[in-house]
Amino acid sequence: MISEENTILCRLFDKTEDYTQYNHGRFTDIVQPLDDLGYLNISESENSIVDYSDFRNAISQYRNEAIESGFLVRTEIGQELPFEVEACDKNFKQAVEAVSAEELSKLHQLVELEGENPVSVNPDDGFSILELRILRYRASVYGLYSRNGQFDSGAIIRAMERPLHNFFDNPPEGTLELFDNTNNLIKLLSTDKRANLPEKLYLQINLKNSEIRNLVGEKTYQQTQGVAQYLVKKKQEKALAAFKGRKSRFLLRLIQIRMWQYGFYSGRIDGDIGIMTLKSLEKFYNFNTEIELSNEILLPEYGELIRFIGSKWWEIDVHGILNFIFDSDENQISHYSLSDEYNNLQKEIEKNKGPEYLKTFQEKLKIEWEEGNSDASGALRGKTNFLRRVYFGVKSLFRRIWRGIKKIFKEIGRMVEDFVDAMKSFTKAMFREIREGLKLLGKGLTFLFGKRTIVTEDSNSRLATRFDFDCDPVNIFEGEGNTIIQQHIKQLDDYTKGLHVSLTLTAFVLKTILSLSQPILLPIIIGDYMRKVKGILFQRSLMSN
Amino acid sequence: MGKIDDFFNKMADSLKSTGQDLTTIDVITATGSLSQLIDSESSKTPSVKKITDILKDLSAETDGGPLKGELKIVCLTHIDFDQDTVQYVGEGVTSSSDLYLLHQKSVETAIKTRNEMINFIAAFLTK
Repeated sequence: MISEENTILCRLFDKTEDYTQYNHGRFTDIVQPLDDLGYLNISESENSIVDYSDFRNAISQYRNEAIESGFLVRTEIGQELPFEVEACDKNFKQAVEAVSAEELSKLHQLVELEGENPVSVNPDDGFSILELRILRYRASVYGLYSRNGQFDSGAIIRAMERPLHNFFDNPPEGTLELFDNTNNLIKLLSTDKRANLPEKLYLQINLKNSEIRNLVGEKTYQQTQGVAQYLVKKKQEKALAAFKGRKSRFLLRLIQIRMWQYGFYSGRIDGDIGIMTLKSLEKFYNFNTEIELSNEILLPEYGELIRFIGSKWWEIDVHGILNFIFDSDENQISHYSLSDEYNNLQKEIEKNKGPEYLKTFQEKLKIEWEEGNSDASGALRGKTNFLRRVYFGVKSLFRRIWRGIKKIFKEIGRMVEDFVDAMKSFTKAMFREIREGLKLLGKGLTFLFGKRTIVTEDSNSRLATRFDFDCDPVNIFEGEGNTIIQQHIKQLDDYTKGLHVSLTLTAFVLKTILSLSQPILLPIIIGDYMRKVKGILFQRSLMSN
Repeated sequence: MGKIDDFFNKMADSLKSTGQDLTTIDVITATGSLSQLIDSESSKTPSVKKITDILKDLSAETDGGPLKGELKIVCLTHIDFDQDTVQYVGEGVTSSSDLYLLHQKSVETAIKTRNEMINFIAAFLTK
């Protein structure tokens, strides 16, 4: 029977992240890969609450598919999950623990790069449903396919195949070239521009020939050519010994990620070439070119491969990547409501039940918490779970790094926004100054070459002033009353206001135009002009003040 | 030779007249019918006849000749190059009347615009 305290605890723990706290991450560790692989859809669930029946079905489905594909054997599967449990019931913990350590480890392996059972997905063999899930997840990491999108096997394969066959000699017209220059990067990161970005961006590593030569190590090849036997035996190590330098490592990381994404590679993304990386390159080369490499791969062939990959443009779905980076983080933030909820509960209990009851509640909560932690940490401390602890440690580290990267990207995004705003303001100010300058120029020209006539009129009277070429004015008033005279005086005031600035500017502009007949003086004139305009505007601002 | 002499004589007169115009300020304020003095149909902004033409009309009135418009001088100010000033104020015009204020404002404006014009020429001619 669930007591009143337990009801409160249930309310408190009735969220995904609460179980994360309660069971030291075990629940999340099960749910997260299930979500990544599409067995669950947490992001679409309201308030991220995972329904138990969904959870149970997801586990069941995963087990069936993993056995069918040969990834899991029946002996590795844990117990059947209870049909129904209460959220805060001890049975729920049993349900979570019904997933065996082996199957949990393998489940994680499907969405992680490293681990005891690396997963390689080979398109030559056709795809099982489980492999399609893996491919969809990998495609989503690269922004090629929505992780929460429809589970459409044809679309997933097409998404994966698209970049495989879409190496471009040049990026298609009308697209933005990523990393081509800083402006493009600013455009990319500016949040308000994100909606206007093209669907696809194109990334090129853009290695120079000299860099490629360094990468493949022609000298090494020539020196060791004579010892073919040694090359055959140690070809990978020797080939990779030639990959030195930071840029090489960056390239290799990209290559490893790309090979991992295709399913050819399942090792570490470390920028170091090992046998796994080389084998994945062989697979890729064979798949992409339909040319079988000989068993005795020589270094120039790797060089050719690297050159091929390094010189082409790769298609990238930038919206997918940006959504992955920004939106997932926003979703995460919205989940963290446990402390607020706990504080609200305490206030509510104190108000309704009194401080004594709150004290009792807090003690019981503490006991429950310690018990839960003890169980979970005890399980993790087991000697046989050493690899799991290391594994989860690495995973946690990766998550922290990923969160850090996202924060950096967001920070850069904000800085770029501020910069863009500042540039906008600056441009507006410049336009205002230019417009003001043109107005002044227009006024000066009108005074010099216009009719110089000011007319004020209403229905009863009319008053006109005309200035002669030497500025002698004549006023002629017609009609009755004097209502328009004051208006006319004001017009005369306006007419002379700023006339000095206008005429000075006009004189300077006219002189400049006349001086343009001497092109050699043009740079001097432009410099002089800038200085003069600045002086005039400064003088004007002083006058207006 | 006679034509060339005429040409130079005219040019000298013109320069003299221009120089005289630039060194003196004449401000006229008048009332009357503008229907024949303002061409309001030719453009959006009605244009007023040139001062010289108006003065001709005024002189025609003085001589008792035909007058195109009925003009009456309210105020007239002449400022010489050495600041000697002659001011005519019509009958019944007081210092507080609006037309007088308008006239004074016009004198002020004329001095200001003339100075600006000279400054402009100076700025244009000098470096």
